[in-house]
Amino acid sequence: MHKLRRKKMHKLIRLFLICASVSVLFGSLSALAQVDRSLEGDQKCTLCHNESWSTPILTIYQTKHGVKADERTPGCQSCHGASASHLGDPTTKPDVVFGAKSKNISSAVERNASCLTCHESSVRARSHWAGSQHERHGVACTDCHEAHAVKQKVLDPVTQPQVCAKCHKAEDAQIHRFSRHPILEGKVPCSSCHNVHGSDGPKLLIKESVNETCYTCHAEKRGPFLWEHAPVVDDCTNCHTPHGSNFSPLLKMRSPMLCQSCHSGDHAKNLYSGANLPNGDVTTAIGQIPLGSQSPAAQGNGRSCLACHSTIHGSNHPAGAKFQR
Amino acid sequence: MFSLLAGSRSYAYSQAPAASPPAPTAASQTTPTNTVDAGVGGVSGSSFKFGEYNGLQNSGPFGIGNFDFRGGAAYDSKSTWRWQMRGRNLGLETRSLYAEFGKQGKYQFFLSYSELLANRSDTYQTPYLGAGTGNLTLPSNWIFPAAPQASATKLNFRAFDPFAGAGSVYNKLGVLTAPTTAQLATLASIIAADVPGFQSVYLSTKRTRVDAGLLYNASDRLDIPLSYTYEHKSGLKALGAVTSQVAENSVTLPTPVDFDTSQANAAANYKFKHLYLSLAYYGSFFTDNVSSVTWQDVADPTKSATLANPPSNQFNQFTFMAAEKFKDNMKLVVSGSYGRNTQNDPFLGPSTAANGQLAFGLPVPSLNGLVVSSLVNAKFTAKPNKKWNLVAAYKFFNRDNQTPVHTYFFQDANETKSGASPFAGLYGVPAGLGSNTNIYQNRAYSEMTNQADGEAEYTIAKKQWLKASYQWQKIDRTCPGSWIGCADARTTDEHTLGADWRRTSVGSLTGRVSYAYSWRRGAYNEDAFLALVPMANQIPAGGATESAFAYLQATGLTAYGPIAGLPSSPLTGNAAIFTPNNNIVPQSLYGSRNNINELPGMRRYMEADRNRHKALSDLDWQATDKLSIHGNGEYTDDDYLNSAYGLKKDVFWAASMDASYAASENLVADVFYTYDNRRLLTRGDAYGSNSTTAFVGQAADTLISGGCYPTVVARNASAKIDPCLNFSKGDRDKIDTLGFSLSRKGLLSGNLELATQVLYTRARTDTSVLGGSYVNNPLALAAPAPPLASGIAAVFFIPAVNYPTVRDDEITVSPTAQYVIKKKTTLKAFYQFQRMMSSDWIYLGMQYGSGANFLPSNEKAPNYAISAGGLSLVYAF
Repeated sequence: MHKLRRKKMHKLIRLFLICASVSVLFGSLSALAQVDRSLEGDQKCTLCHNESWSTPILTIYQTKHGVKADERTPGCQSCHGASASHLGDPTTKPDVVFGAKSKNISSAVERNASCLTCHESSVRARSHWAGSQHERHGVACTDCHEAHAVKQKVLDPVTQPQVCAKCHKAEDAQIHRFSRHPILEGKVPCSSCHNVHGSDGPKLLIKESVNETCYTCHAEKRGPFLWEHAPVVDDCTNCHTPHGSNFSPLLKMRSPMLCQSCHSGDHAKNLYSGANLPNGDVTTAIGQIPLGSQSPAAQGNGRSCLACHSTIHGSNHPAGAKFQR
Repeated sequence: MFSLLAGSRSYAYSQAPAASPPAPTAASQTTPTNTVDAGVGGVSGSSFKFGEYNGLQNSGPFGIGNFDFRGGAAYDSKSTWRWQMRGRNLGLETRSLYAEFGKQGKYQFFLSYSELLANRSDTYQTPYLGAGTGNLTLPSNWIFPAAPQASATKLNFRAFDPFAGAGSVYNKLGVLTAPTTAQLATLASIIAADVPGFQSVYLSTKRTRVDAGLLYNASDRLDIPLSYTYEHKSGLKALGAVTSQVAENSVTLPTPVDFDTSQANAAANYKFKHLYLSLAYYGSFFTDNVSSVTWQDVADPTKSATLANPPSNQFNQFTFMAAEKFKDNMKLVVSGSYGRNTQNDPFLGPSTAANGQLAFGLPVPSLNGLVVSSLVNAKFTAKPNKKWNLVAAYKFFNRDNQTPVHTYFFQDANETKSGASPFAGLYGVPAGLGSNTNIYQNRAYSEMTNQADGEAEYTIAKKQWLKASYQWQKIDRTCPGSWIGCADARTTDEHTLGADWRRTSVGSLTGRVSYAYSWRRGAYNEDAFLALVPMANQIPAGGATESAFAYLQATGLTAYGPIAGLPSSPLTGNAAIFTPNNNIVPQSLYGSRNNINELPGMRRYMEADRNRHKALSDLDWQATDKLSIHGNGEYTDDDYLNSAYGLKKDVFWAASMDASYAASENLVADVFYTYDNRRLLTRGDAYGSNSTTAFVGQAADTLISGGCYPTVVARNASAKIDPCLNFSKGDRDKIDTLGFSLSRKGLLSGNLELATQVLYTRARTDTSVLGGSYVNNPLALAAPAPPLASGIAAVFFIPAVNYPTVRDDEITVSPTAQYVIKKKTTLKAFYQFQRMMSSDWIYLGMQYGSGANFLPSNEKAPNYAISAGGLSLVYAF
């Protein structure tokens, strides 16, 4: 009795596995089976779109999309569609047109559908793409990617910011400010912090929060510290502006103004005037008595608050509750 | 262009292969080209800022070395084997190397090495010896710096400047008096002994990073990506360190950076029809090799103090994701994570923390810190028909800080214990505690976010869409283990309504306009800071019948006390103890050395009630086949409407325009301009303490010039509510960024390609200050000085003045040329000129003579005009 049940169970499992395998095989191959992805199939296109074409076409064979021995590799029609009418009459447009300057360019949805056939879940899956900021704003994969290029600008950390800057103009200006990340040098390209294909984090960040993204390079700020500074734990961008600032290190405002945005007790309550700062206005009492001995105060000069409260990201010193140790 | 130019703040780059005039062939387009680029370059001057990240900080020659090799099976072969190796900036400390090989669809392995230099200052000076170590000492002949004519016992770093140090002072008789010969001699001896000890220390840090990774395609359904990163960061950075909190004296130390960070990633990604599953691990392990920095006290080298460096920490996280595409038009993605962040470095004990700061010992030897973070994210997208596009999402994120909470006793920096704490010997508090001993509890900040999003987009016409969206976000902030809620706003709710219109069109106009309005509200708790001081919940000795917190609860006051002047009749009972003269709660009554209350109405902006308007616009116009124009604008207006003090307004707007003209395939010009403007408004109140004090100096010195009250007694009676002590500060950033580029190809029979780029940035930050302060007349002195003459003010109200403008002007000109000598050989040349003119009071304040109580470092704002250029040969094969 027991053996019989086990046999039945084995049969059921086998049946399930066979069905699953067939369905998976069918599912994965069906999309590609509709077109001829072989070189011979490509020749339908490359007869005309050959090496003399105005933009390099055949260079795709140097890219990952051109490795024909990889059974996942697409053919021309995998991405551009079967384009039957175009094959018959070259004056008509192919099913899917990617050329950015083409008058016949397909919609972002149509262009993306070509890429997502494979990339939505099977090859370098972009599962978060649907509903992501870029998808919702009508960005197409080929707005950033040049599938036929041997060296894609967006994949080179040095040239990547140019691609992002096509739309993100304010950020493009900010990365040239006095204080900035080494974005232009390709050491911290945009993709170091942002996953443009969609993510669990805000602002398409690679991690699920601003802070966890920052900690990928600034792990020393992670703590947990004995004495935590609430805005630091909350969000690094409470004080920092990551794309660039007039003030090092990437601060939103110069201290003491930044600190006084939140602190109004003890000496943080005081008004720190710019009087008598180097290059500033000189203030005197009744026009005679210099106030040089009274101003500028240390809190409004030089490093100001940070001259003393230097462990502002948190302190692990038992006497460091005031971020001075 | 040379890749190293990228490090020189140029604004556009190209990695174009060498100009290749011969007509392309199928073979040339399908066969990888290897390139080697070697040459020499030079830099005309030295500046840390010019070479901040690009490795060109020193004048002189440098090597140019780049290579790019690719190979493996041909596209039409039966093999999927491919490899590549790249090297960049090999002659500089920003070099990188990359190697990759694998069988596509089977496995891929990569290995990379990268250096990143961050130059921080080339003008920093310090008298401290031992830079680079955790033990900083002063020169053996160090003399206590004081301006003896002002005070022989008070630290005064202006003594290092012969002019500022020798300034006249008002003596006890109110006479402006120049230093005596003996005092000048003392000053000279200080300068002679201490100033030569200031040595230049170059401040920079360098990251050296190795990455390795493997992508293993176990089957057509299963991928296993693995990667590991190791990074070492070392160098020096300047860090402020307080030597005396009471006197507010500080030094700037050359602090060592010696970090090791390892990061590991592993995942298993599984596909099954329309179902995608992923399970991943992320680990990050940070080690600080220098746990602390000890330095000698500039006021008394027999003493030293210790600063704790960031502790080593660990983070382990597991994530999962499941995505199912139900139909072509519906998808559900559910993801989540669970992470544990730990930290248990030994505390610096009483013996390492000098100056008796930890004389009362430690409750535990280390923190045993633990933060558990968890995430659940679900997103559903649907396109029910051709007209509609719907998105619904929910997110839960929790930072649960489970770090144990303990009470710590410590003295402030360089302050000896005095008096007796009203809690000494009570509630488990050591008996010997002084009235100036801090009794603090750590706060384990936790934050839980719930967020829901909904969005509907409707196609209103061909290539035109209208979208409406709504977002709700609720954040709960807690501190497990604290005796009272620690969050300024325990819960905040934010709602955002948005609308967006966009249109795409082919060949002419693409546009987008969006607007969102948010409102955030929360219940603000102005006594949340008391979580730091557990004694606020205990009855202090000395006559009080309740704790400070109970008193505040009973009276409805905050620790600021009543918003009132001197009471008409003396207060009695608990009121006289906790809010004497209607003033703030005395710090010792909650076991603090500082007044840590805030102003009533002060709201921390990250939790404060806020209304936000946000608008974006974008326009792309392909005017002709050759000319395209792109413009966009951005506007954000944050209004902290219920904040009487603190940040009130934050308004940002930016406008950009970019025009590109392609006269032909060989001639392209591009120009862009961006203007950024940001305004921040902060309000404060420099309130004083109500008192009956009627004069300054002597009994007859009672008049005030300016301000809101005519006499000292009137002002002091209303010191807490003096409207003249209200102030505001306005910060305004104005930044213009202008760029131009021109590229010309096809010259000299197609062998020459020229390009140039120009970038100009003009940044200004103005800080305006509205308000003023009362300043005592330096002649209003106690006897034996004579009293002031009748009618002369004893106190002046001095209006505040604006801060000096922070300026940064920078222009970069970068012409480049490539000339094809032979089919495989190209000569490349680059030149870059960069001029920076900056002025910032933060640097000016660090010079000799500027500050009395912080050690000068003589750091200078960068100002330079530097050229860099180079020639190299590119061989392609």
